[in-house]
Order: sequence, then structure tokens, then C-alpha cells
Amino acid sequence: MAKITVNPAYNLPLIAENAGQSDIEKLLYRDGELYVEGVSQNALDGALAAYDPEIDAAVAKPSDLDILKEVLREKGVITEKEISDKKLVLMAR
Amino acid sequence: MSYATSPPKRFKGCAIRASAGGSFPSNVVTVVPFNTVEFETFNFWDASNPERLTIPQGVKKVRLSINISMNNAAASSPKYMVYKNNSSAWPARIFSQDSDSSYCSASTVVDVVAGDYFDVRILQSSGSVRYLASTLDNVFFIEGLE
Repeated sequence: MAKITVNPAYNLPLIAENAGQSDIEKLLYRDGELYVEGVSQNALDGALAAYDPEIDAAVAKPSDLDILKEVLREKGVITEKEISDKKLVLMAR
Repeated sequence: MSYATSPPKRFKGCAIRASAGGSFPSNVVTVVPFNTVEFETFNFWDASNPERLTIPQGVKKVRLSINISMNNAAASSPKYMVYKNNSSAWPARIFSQDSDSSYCSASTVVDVVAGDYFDVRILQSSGSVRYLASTLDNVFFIEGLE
């Protein structure tokens, strides 16, 4: 099985996919190393070398609170200003 | 530093602990990095594979429990799983779906043979790395019943 030592903040599924493995069930992260089944060591090393953390980073999911704010904004229940004003009130307490 | 009281006499078991800060990349099954032995009375733990509990000779039935806590787990829908011999599919398994930032569970009685091993794995899908929370909360425990 191919493996690389890699920063856990990187988009590891993308690195594996670029090495030829798109099934995330074939990946395992253990003790700072990513193990990938079904690809060669050369392919995995190459995918890591080509990875650019600035461009290829995964997009974080919004928090439940951010999703709720967006829904309330869309439905016209609350405005951005009201959210900001409320935040300031809470911070002042 | 020890957090647990001493195990009872004739007790067969082991508890291991993972330090705060252990990292979990997004969308990759990750082995929880247990790294400290809380107590050990029957050779369940091996320093060469510190995150595992391995069944020694003389044990046929065990019970397992885990307690795990992660920081900033909102929106990450973590799954907490105990693997046996590198597989999540085993009778009486511990396996959560879309759980919360903290998870605590115990198995029923599990039949084992010498050499079987268990580890704890987490899959989270937040889009960014997540970390273990307080060291006090991250424990993997096994009790040999017979």
C-alpha cells in the first residue's frame, strides 16, 4: 500500500484522487501518514508534489449557525444589520 | 499523570488515552492516536502499535468501551467506529452515524481469539481538519471477561 507523510489540513481525498484513487474508503490516515490502496507509491508521491495548498484546499462547510443566519436572511426575517447589531449587544454584555 | 483509580484485583483489562490535539483530516477515516496507558493488567497493549488493544493468550471474551471528544465538530457529522482486525463490520460492533462532537459507547460481550486487535477510527466531513478535545475525555477501554 502506498503512503505519504502529509499535513492533515491538506485536501487528502483530492491528493488520492490525483494519484488514481477516488474511493475514500480506500484511504486511511494514521499517525501523520496517509495510506492509499490501489495506487503506486510513485503516483502518490507525484500527487503530493503537485498539490498546492493555496489552490486545492477543501472548502469548509458552514456552521449550523451560519446556515440558520442565511435562511433567516433569505426569508426576510432578519437583516445583516440586525445580526451585526445583535452581535455587538452580545459582545458588550 | 494517571487519571484512573487502580483496577480491582484479578482484573484483566487495559485503558489507553489519547492526548488533546490529535488531528483528523476531512473525509478520510483516521485512527485515533491513543498514546498513553492508563492501566494495563494482562498485556493488551503493545508499544509498537500504541493505538491498538490486542487480545493476549488466555482471553476469549471481552467488553469494550470508548469515550471521545472533538473540538469544533459542528457541521462535521463525525462517525465514531471501533474496528476489529481492520474491519468495521463485526458482530456487536461499536459504530455511530452522524454523531455529535462527543461520543461514548460500550459493546456487549465480544468473542475473541489471541491476536485479534481493536482500534478506534473517526470519519468527519467538515471540509477542514478537526482535533481531539480535552485529554480527560479520550479513553479506550477493554475488559477481559473470561
